[in-house]
Amino acid sequence: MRSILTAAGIGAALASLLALVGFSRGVDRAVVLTMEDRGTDIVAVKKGSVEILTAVLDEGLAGRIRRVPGVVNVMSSIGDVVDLESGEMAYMAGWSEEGGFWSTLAITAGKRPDPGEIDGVVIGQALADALGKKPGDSIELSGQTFRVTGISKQASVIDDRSVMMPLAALQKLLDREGKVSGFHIRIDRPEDSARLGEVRNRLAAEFPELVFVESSEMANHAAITNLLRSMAWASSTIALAMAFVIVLNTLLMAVMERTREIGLLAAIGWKPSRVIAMIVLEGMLMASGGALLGVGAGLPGLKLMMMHPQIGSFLQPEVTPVLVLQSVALVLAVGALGGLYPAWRATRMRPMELLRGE
Amino acid sequence: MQAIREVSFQIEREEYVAVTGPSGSGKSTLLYLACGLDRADTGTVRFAGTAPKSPAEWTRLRSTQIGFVFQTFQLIAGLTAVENVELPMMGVVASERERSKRAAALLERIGLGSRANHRIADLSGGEAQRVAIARALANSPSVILADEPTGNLDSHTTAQILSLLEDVRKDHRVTLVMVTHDAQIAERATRVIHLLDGKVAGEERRREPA
Repeated sequence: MRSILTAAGIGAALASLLALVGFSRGVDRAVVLTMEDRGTDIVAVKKGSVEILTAVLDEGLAGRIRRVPGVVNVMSSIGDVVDLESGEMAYMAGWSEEGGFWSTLAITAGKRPDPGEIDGVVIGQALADALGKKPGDSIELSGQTFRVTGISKQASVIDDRSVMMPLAALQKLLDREGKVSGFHIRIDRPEDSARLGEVRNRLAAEFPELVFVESSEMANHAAITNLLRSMAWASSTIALAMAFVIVLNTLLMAVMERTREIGLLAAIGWKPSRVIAMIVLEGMLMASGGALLGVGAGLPGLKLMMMHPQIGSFLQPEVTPVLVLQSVALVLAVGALGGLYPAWRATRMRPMELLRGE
Repeated sequence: MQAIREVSFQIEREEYVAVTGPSGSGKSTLLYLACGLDRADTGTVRFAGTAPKSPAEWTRLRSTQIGFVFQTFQLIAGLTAVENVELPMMGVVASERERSKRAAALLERIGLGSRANHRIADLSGGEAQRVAIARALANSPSVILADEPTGNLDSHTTAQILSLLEDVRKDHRVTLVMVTHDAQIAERATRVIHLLDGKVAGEERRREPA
């Protein structure tokens, strides 16, 4: 019973690790997919801003950025997160006419809003499904009514649950006319990493008030993703530490209850290393039982969590086989380490002390 | 309190020695010191002319040269008879198959072949002590130390166990040192060392029966 409970504790730690790190990686992946969808090579944001969404840049910078050699295209954008009446959260993104966002947006139903249309929006397919919206329906955003003109299927979960509108419309809604959150830049030869670096350095030299981040690094730059990642690993570390203490406690008790048996093994000629290996192996066996429980219950548990609108709105966990294997390996290591001290303690005593149960 | 003091003697190869004395005379302590299960504060214990210098050396000796039979059997209840006999072979005999084969053969030798796969809890006291003797023989030791091996057994089973130990001694040519408080049991040995209050109080030798 004690071993089962210990394994359950370890399983809970593993499930937490999978969920937390999976969510964090899911957000990272969503950011990368967003960049890939836009064809963005470099993102320009305000230097020193902790949260990109709240930063304000002059929209006019786009024209100056476009004139830098190597820059092919610049899309200006502004964004914010909004609570919908349904309880879902949605990301609102305003995109400039210039730069190609609207011409490359894959519309699966309806159409994009006309350039002068300030109350028309395109919503992501996942959001449309969650809200039951179709082209022609209305949607309330920050107290204002907008009309759904089209629906677009997006690769990134963030975009697939977003509301996209012309830049001017969102600037007006957010009361930030003439301001943007950042610029999405496309260069002439993005496949050439040296060229990418060269253009980036040129942009940084010309616009010292901005930071230019390669799209592949964007997930590391956004405060929210860094925060999620840090929290995920911090919480997982705590969970693993608790699992270690659980294993340590269980094996300490087991060793104390089996002092005679350990003494006997020493008496019949077992080397201390063999006794230690036996106890450490017991720890690892317990941990592997916990790992099975953690994976078996954790993955379906994650799916259940995703059904909550507040969680599933933006967060799609990325739980890969590699992450599962890494997590299982960590848990096995915890099991082994948890067995080391009790094992070492057991071999410090003289066999007769153990046989007498001292 | 000193369990043993000023004790000095030598046991020859293939001798059959009984160590006897009243309760508290230091008999069992002497046996534990003789195989490194306990450590003397002063003095030296030699095995085959060499004094082991470390617990690791004593462990190696107990693994390969010394078999120990306890009064309370000291078998692992959750294992079967054959698994208990295999225990000392781990780390000495690499092949699991070979260990199993040797353990089964030993149990057969001592008359428990049919009980090899029974758990210890299912065995009688006499059967359990036979398993303990088989375990002591697992790595073909040159010495068997038996601490009151019949202390927990009835008279009929006692006679059987003593006969078994004596047969094992002759067949495997091992040195047998047995601790007992029973004078009648001690008389079966060819040499008896009497302990009293931790000291050697006397010694007797008898001729080995033909």
